[in-house]
Amino acid sequence: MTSESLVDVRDLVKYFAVTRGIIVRRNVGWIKAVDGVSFTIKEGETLGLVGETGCGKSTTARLLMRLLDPTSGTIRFAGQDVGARRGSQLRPLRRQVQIIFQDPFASLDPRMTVGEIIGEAMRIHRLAAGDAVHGRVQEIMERVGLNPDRHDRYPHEFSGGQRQRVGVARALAVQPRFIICDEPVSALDVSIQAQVLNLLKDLQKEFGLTYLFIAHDLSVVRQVCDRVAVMYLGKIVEVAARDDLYALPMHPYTQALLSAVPIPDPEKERSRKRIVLQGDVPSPLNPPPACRFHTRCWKAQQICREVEPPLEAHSPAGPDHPAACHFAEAAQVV
Amino acid sequence: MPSTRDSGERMPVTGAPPPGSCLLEVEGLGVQFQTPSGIVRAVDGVGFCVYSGRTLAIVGESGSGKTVTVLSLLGLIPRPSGRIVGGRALFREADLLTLRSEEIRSIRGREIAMIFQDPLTALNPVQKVGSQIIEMIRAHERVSRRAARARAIELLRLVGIPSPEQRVYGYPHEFSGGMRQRVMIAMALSLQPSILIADEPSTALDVTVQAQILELLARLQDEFGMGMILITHDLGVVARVAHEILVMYAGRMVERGSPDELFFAPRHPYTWGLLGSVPRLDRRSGERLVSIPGMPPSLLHVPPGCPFHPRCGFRFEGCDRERPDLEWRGEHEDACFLTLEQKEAGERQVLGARGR
Repeated sequence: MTSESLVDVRDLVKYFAVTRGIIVRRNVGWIKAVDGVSFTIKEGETLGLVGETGCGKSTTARLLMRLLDPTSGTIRFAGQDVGARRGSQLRPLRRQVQIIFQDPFASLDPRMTVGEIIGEAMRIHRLAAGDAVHGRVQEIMERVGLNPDRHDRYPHEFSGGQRQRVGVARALAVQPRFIICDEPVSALDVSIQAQVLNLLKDLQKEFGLTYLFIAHDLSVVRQVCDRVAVMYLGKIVEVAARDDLYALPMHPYTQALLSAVPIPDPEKERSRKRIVLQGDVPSPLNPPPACRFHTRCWKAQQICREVEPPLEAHSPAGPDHPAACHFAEAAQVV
Repeated sequence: MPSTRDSGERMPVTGAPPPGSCLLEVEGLGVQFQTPSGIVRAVDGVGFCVYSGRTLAIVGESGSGKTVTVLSLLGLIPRPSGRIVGGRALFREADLLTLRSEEIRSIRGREIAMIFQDPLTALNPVQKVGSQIIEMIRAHERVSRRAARARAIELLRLVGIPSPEQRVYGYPHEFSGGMRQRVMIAMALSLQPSILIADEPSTALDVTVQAQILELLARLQDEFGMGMILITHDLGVVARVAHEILVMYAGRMVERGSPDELFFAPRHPYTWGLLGSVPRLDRRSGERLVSIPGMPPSLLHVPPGCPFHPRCGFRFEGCDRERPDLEWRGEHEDACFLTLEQKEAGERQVLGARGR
């Protein structure tokens, strides 16, 4: 890949063993959570990763953080192989890669004050010591829109939106280059969601941050991302620049996904044609062979059940807009 | 009248009231809760009509009082902490708010049914789904188990569950989220209610499954001519299915009107903020979304006057003293002191860039 990409993921695979038995554990199958995912993210860019429950987007995030070890594949961050590092060698990486979690209630230690939560990582990474930590914490709190005087309060004294700001402040505290946002606004009310999205955008501009933005909400993704990758059952089925994906979706799954999202405009909703898929997403334990979408796809033919379609460009989409489908063609659904 | 959906003409079954007749009329509803920290005014002066064959959407953020509103209609407010402090809800000449608990029980489920956001907690995990539907039918009607089972299978088929003859013996954990919500819908429909209340029916579901459930509800409404109250925070869902919209804030009504009026000529500053806050699939709202500063007030300390005034960019003298009220009859209504000209200018100022 080009030298300017900050994150370079190649053929990433993560299988979880499904075991049975207590004393003798037999392996009875694999959950193929992530199955051959490749993408790159340029410095300063926001890549959106979208998909439904169980498509492997959060597992991908945990692999990038090295919270999980991949089954195979490589992850390069700023040219260095992340997978080769062990133990304390990971620490410099962990400073540069931070994560913001979905649930601001579960991801903050209830017995630490907000100031301690934000300051802890600074101490661990020796970015500040003693009284300097206190000053930095207040500075960051102010920057994310929290009242710095409240640094000695506990998470339960804050509302959901404010807690998510604490999560953002904690990530920012160690001056990272890359932040993984795992469904950062899906637990928030719309008016609060807009505040947090605006904040993430402002911080990106100010600090030159790179984001991987994981979400199931395609409208949110359109608002914040530069490029979007769509996942289905552990595989990327389509990648494109933001406006290309929404204007010219090539993969039938992307088209169905986009057409399912309601638009807050009654006139558009009345005239839109809708693709309603049958059934649910199949289980990632025994996913369908070849093209994994063939069980729900209205275009499926014999070849879809036998040959896995590669992620490649199809006209009229350009080379930067590949889709993994034998019958990819553009359709307007938004 | 509110606009019609694209799904074609409605064909009510025989015996169903004609579309557009008022089934339930709520007026001046007030609900309070006594808590250790004081009195929570959860709902204050809410009124609306539910028409047969039409969907009323109640929209608002968490804590706006939308769920409490419908729970109070069904006699499901926890007592003694919760108290209905005013208003009436006329259904078939009876006031739901004053009925004794046996009387409301014969209406709940049979006449007015409800489906909840989370089907996993609403279903009994240790009872087969078929038995749960049969129990519901037999609680209200004198029919044999065999007849009730046949009806349960028919209902599961109606809501699109494959091979219902086998699935009727399944337990809730054997169903996916979307399928469980279908079971809930089957159960709610089992007694052919005239009103269906759906509290965030698709929020916990993936978007492709949400589309299936919304489609199903619209189809069933066409078939049975039910009146529907849809509670949601998702303005996209509202635009897709609602015939009439009620926007709530801090337990009060702030605006009411048809989808076209609410989305294309909104009059209340809170509605502008909500519309501007929602990211859209069909276009980017520029670099930044319009956002409402601050957060919704605690219902323990609802601001005096207009409850929205501390967050409102258009407040003026008097907004913090006098409370604007909303007429609940008639067409497009809103609870704001601005003049119509000011509202038109305000909407352009907040939402101008979005176009139509």
